[in-house]
Amino acid sequence: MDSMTLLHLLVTFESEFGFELDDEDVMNANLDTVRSLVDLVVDVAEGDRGAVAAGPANDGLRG
Amino acid sequence: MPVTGDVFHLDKDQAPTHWYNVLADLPFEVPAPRPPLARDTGADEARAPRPQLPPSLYRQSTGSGRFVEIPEPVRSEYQRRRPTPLYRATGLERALDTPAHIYFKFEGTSPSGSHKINTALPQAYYYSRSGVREMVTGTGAGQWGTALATACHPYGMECTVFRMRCSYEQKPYRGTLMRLNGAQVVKSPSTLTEAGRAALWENPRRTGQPRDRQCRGHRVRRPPVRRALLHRQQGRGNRPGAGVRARGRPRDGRVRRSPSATAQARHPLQYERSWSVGPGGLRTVSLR
Repeated sequence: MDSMTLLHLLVTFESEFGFELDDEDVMNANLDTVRSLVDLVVDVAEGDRGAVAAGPANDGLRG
Repeated sequence: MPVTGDVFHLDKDQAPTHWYNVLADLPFEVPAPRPPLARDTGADEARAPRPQLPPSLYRQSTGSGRFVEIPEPVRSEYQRRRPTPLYRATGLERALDTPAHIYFKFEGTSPSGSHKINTALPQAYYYSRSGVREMVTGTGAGQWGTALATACHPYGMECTVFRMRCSYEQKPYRGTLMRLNGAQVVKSPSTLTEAGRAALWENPRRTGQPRDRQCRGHRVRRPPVRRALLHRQQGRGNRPGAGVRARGRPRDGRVRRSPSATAQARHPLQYERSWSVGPGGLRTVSLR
């Protein structure tokens, strides 16, 4: 797996589980195991990182 | 919108508020990125991948929304540096004898000399928002390096530009522009990186051009040919009968080696200059 595949996976998780990852969380995350990937997704999904509670990041996306 | 002849000037408050995403109107779906081939990842198998791109940028590259709102910090920078004037190409319309209206944007008013600031600014913004403090890039002639250096500055980011060695020496003013924006400019290949050290070890005179081997290979010694090449480089046209036109410029843009030049190339001590002819015309590559 390369870095682009990892990003594709993360964005797929976002659309599958209905949350939005924060840029800084992802860029600083140490995603060297499947466990760490699951932890990141669970943390965000549960709102521990505040990404969901604070609303989606303002990346300008509009449908 | 103020119009001067065939030139249309946009006001700053008419700078765009949204980017248009062409993916929304494609008649087919763009496939997902292909998984890397085993041979591409073999060297890094032991190293876990790290995202090199903020997810915001990735979403914009792959999303299907037709419009993407430009974040305010990017828009305010656009207003500072754009809009560039829009020209109607009436001369081209006449030459083509077409009823169509042809327009082009003149990007030469941008300090970077191109449209590249349009994408450099959002890239720098999204990276700075992700906690990245420095951007490192490569540039050939220097337009991209200038654009990124200009873009990093307002977001408080550092910028290091690895610039193709021959361009670094031929166009020093572009490096000055990058440094004025706080960037560090490094000749490439350089001794700062493993790849650069390996390249220089192989050939200390490496110019940094992808066609390095070709640049090194061609040697011109015949004075009339050299004079003709100089005339062409200085915009004075070809000297009739000098031999350059007789051999012609092949379709691939390379200067073919004449039999005499081939023979002279066997005597490297007589070597004076290397030349290369590419899409941009003739240029001196290196001196020895």
